[in-house]
Order: sequence, then structure tokens, then C-alpha cells
Amino acid sequence: MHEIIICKMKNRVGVLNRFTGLLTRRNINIESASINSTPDNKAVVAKFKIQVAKAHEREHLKRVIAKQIDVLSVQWDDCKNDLEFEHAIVK
Amino acid sequence: MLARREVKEQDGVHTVSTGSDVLLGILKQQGVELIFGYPGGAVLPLYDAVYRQAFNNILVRHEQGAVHAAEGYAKATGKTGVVFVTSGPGATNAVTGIADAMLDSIPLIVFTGQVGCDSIGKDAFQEVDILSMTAPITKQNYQIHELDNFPKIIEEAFKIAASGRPGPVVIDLPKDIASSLPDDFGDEKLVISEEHSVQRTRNVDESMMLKISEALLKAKKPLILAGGGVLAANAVSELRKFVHRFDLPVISTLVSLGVMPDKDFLFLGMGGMHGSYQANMAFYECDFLLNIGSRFDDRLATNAAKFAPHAHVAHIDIDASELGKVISTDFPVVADAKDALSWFLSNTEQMPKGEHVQWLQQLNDWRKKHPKHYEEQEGKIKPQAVIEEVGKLTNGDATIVTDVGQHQMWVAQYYPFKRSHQIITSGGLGTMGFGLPAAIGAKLAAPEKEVVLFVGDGGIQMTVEELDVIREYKLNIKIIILNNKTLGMVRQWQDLFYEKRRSQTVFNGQPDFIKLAQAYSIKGLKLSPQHWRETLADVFAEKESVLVEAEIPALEQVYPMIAPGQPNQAMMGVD
Ligand SMILES: Cc1ncc(C[n+]2csc(CCOP(=O)(O)OP(=O)(O)O)c2C)c(N)n1
Ligand SMILES: [Mg+2]
Repeated sequence: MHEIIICKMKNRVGVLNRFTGLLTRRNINIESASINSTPDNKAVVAKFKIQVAKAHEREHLKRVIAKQIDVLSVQWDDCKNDLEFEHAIVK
Repeated sequence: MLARREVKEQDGVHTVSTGSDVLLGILKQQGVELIFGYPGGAVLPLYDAVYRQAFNNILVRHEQGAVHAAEGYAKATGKTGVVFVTSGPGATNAVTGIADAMLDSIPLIVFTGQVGCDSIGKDAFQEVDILSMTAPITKQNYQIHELDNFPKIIEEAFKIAASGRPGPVVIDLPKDIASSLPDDFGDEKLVISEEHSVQRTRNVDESMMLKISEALLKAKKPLILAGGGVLAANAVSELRKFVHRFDLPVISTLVSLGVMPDKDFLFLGMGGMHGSYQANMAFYECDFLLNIGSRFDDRLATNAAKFAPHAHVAHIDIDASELGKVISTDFPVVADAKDALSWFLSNTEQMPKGEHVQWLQQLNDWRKKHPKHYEEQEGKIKPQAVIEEVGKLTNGDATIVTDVGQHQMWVAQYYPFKRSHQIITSGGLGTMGFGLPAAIGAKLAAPEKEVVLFVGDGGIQMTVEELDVIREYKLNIKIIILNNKTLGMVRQWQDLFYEKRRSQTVFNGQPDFIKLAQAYSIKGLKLSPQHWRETLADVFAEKESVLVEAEIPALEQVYPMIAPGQPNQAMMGVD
């Protein structure tokens, strides 16, 4: 099943590298992504569409992402189809 | 204020305050008394400041040694270790140590030199992208681009390295920043999120803690697994008080040895692949397992699916991502081990002692029936006997450093550990070459402590250059090479699982280790099978370093052993 991670991170060099590294290490492909900075430019909001096969791996990944120093908040959503993802991006 | 541009004249020498001076100033503020490092082009300004300020830099002989020494220092004191290395090869040489610190949750700050800001990205001489390389093996990393936020970043780095679950932080320092003459750093306040700002973070989840206490005290076969988190949180006395209040048996991991005194009747020893019989049987039989600060590593829970099959599992860890990672947990709690144990202590006073006398009896029977044992061999020196003897000679109180391999496991099994900050070993990464530099760091951290290094004939050759640091600083470290003339641990696996095809594990000749020690002006001697105990006693009476070579049987195995993937109760080598 696809899922969307919506991750608010500090707006600084290298945050995405560290974040995507966590996915690379677990052989998780990013199928779609969008990244925008917040109006005050202090943070970025990144949305990724990924697939995680096993429920407990998903749970672990969630916590590993949440504990990154640069991650301010993280939200996961089921994504039943692409349209929903696009919708989430627009939102 | 830390540093403004200033030019002083002292004894006719112009002293200039640069970015590097600011850095050293902040380190002093943070209580850093010594650093481990190695100079190079990109850190010339930094080492110039070290020179001018007479900052205490321990000059290692290889950057890997610098990081392991800082790890040893941090492990022996609980303080954050600090490392300086140059850019490019200096930085890449540090990578193994950084990964080691990450896996064993050791607080470090590693400053890597970098080429000047204008040269970054141009394949300049000795330029590597150390930020990308170390992202997965650091808690956080930074490159400094503006002097303004420099002090803030360093302070933040110290907080991050030591708070929560400790770990390494890399700060990449471009040369121009290190040599720039700052006017002003502004007075920007340090802003750091609550989570990373204090050592002990949250209040424990009381309702969950209550449930755990009740289940634990109701259990017929309760068991505590006390991991490195208990040591990192300085919660050893709380743990001991708690388990004695309710007679709860305790298993340690490799890195948490010392969390309970070896002699304590509640201590079952180390669990896992080479753990004690009673510990591994206890994992199998227990009906309630409380894990405090261990991560259920695969060398401990050798088959996660079959681990503690009859038990409800409670897991307390400061790192939420550890909960449920390997073993699913009925009672997860995110908490610092000290907070959790203090909570237990103050909230279980009125609770009745559980009834698990039979369980304690069972554990004791296992211990008696299958004690750790090895066979004496006529005319041979047994590694286990050497370790036991050192245990006696040092009264079980020395700081024990190991390298990686069979000798490491024998030390874990046979040295009578009894206090925290006592074992210094590479647990998670299993880094050969860790031992010698880590022993140097441990000795410099606590010179009053006896420091003993047990190392293999393979591992000593990986960082042997650091013997020169022992010579230079006249450190008193007892180095014991358990020489089986093989890469023993790998050879053991080949014998057991690859039909004794000893591919590349038997050395075809070796250096003369005694002469090697002598080359570094360190006393070296080889134990004789007849008089080795007397010789060892003499060695420990010495006030200076001695390198001792003990030739041990080449084919000695570490037992018990659980084959990888087998459940804990499936131990080999138990009769
Ligand atoms: C840097 C590194 N390379 C390879 C290994 C794999 N390895 C694990 S134990 C071991 C043998 C170590 O031999 P030695 O130092 O003589 O110790 P012994 O096992 O004989 O006590 C090897 C090669 C490792 N752990 N670390
Ligand atoms: Mg060996």
C-alpha cells in the first residue's frame, strides 16, 4: 500500500539528504515528492509517496524519522490512489 | 563574551583571536580538558590556536585511533569525547570510529577540517563530502559557513551528543572560517528544542509503569535485562536497589557488564550468543521480561521470532524507535533508565514481594549444573585462566578494554566485572583495532584506574601504531595479547559452519610482538606455560606499561555458543 509522509523539517542544508538516507538504507523507493518552505522560511514541508511492505517496519521507520534532530513534526497518511496524493500536495 | 577581534601582545608574541580560538574557548566552557587529534592542511589554523593556547591535544598516530581513544575516554567518564582531524583522508580515517560510536551510543564531537568555503565542491585538494558520508552514522552533523552561528552550533552539538540517547556529532569546519578574525558573534540566544536540551527528558508514563510493576511482581518467572542504557543514565545503584527489593534476576548485555556485580546471586551473567547457560535458559523460560535500555541486538536475541516465547515483554528505552523494533512489546515506555528506575523505587515500596522462589531455585540449579568451564591443558596457557588470574590480580576493579574476537568473549565471560564504566569494548560495530586506542583514552580519562587491554594477535595489528602514544605519554596500561596465531573468531565459525575450511584466518608467521613493544620502548614479555601466574603477578606490580604475550591454543573455542539464527536455548558446547 502506498503511503504519504508529510514531514516538517528545519530549513537547512542537508536535511533532505539525511531523510532520504533513511529510506535508501531500507530499500524504500520514493515514488513522488514535493518540498516547499514555510512562509517564514524557517522550515520546509516535504511530502513523499512511498511504499513500506511490513506494518512493523512502517512503525519503526515512523519513529526513526521522528527522532531526527531536524524533523519538527511528521504525519503519515494512507494513500489509496495517486489522486489523493496530488490532492495532499495541493493541500 | 567569548571572542571579539583582539590582538594581544604577550611576551613579544602577537596573539590573534580567530575562529579557532573561539572554538577552543567554547570547548573550555564545555569543560573539555583534552582532545584527541591529528593535524593537516585544513586544520592548520585550528592547530595554530591549539599551539598558542597550549590546549591539551593528544597526538595520536592515526585518525581512527583518535576517535577510538575519544570513545574510550567517553566510556570511562561518561563525558563527551572530542576529536580534531583534518579534511579528506583525515576525515575518512575517522569514519570507522564515528560509526562505532553511533552503534554504541557514545557521545562524541568530531571536528573535521574542510577546505575553504570557496573551494568546496571543486574537488579541491583533500576535499571530501564528509557530511554526506557521515549522515547515517551521526546523530547530527553540521558544516559551518558563517561565523555568526558558530558558537551556537557547537553548543547545540554538545547538547545533542550527550542528551537522550547519546551519539556522535560531526562538525565540518572550513579552513577560512577557522582562520577568520571575528568581529562579533551577535548575541543570538541559543535555541534548542526541549527534547534535546536536557539530559533526562520526559516524565515516565505512570499508568504504563504501574502496569509493568504489577505484572512484574505477579510473574512467576520474572526477568530483568539491563542494557547499556542503564550505564549511560548512571542508574546502576537504582537498578541494584530495585532488583534486590524484589529479588529479581538480572541479565546484562556485552556493553552493560558491570551493571550488577559478578558475584551477586541475582546476576545471571551476559545473555546472547556467548552468554551464560542460565541467562539464555532464563530468556527461554521467563514469563515476564523487563528490558531496560537494551536494544535486543541480534547477538543477544539470536532469533527474534523465538525469543522469550513464554514472556510478556516490557521495554523501557530513551529512544522511542527502539520500542518494538526487534521484539514486539506489550508494555513500551519511552524513558531515561534513571527516571524509570527511580519511579519504580518510589512507587513500589508498598507492593508485596512476588512469589518466585522456585524460579530463583531453577536459575540456581542451571547455574550449578552448567557453570562456565574450560579444560586445562598440560603445558598450555588457557585464555580463560589468564583472564581469571587478571581478575584476581586486579580485584575485579580494573577498567577492562577489549578488542574484537574470541578474546573479547572470554573476557566478557571470565572477568569479574562489578562497576559501571568498567568494560570498554566495541559492541555494535565489532571494530577490530578499537582496543588499543580506546585503552589510551580510558587511561587518560582516569589515570588512577588500572587499565587492562585484552587484544587478539589480529586486532593489535590494526592500530598498533598507537603504542607510540603510550610511550610518549608514559601511560601505564597492561596490554595482554591472547595470541592464538589466528583470526580466532572467524576461524571458529569456519570450523563450525564451513567444514573447517580455514580460509585466510591462519597467519602464516607473525611479527615478534615483544620486539615490537620494545621498538616503542615498552616492556614486552612472553608468558611461559610453567610460570605464567608468577610473571603476571610481577607485571601487575609494575607502575608502567607492559605488553604481555600469552600464546594460547590455536583451536580453542568460545563456548557456549548459539549458532546465528538459532533460539537462545539452543546452545552448543554445553555438556
Ligand atoms: C575491522 C574488522 N575487520 C574484520 C572483522 C571480522 N573479524 C571479527 S573477529 C575477527 C578475528 C579477530 O582475530 P584476533 O584479533 O586475533 O582475535 P581472536 O578472535 O583470535 O581472539 C575478525 C577478522 C572485524 N570484526 N573488524
Ligand atoms: Mg587471534
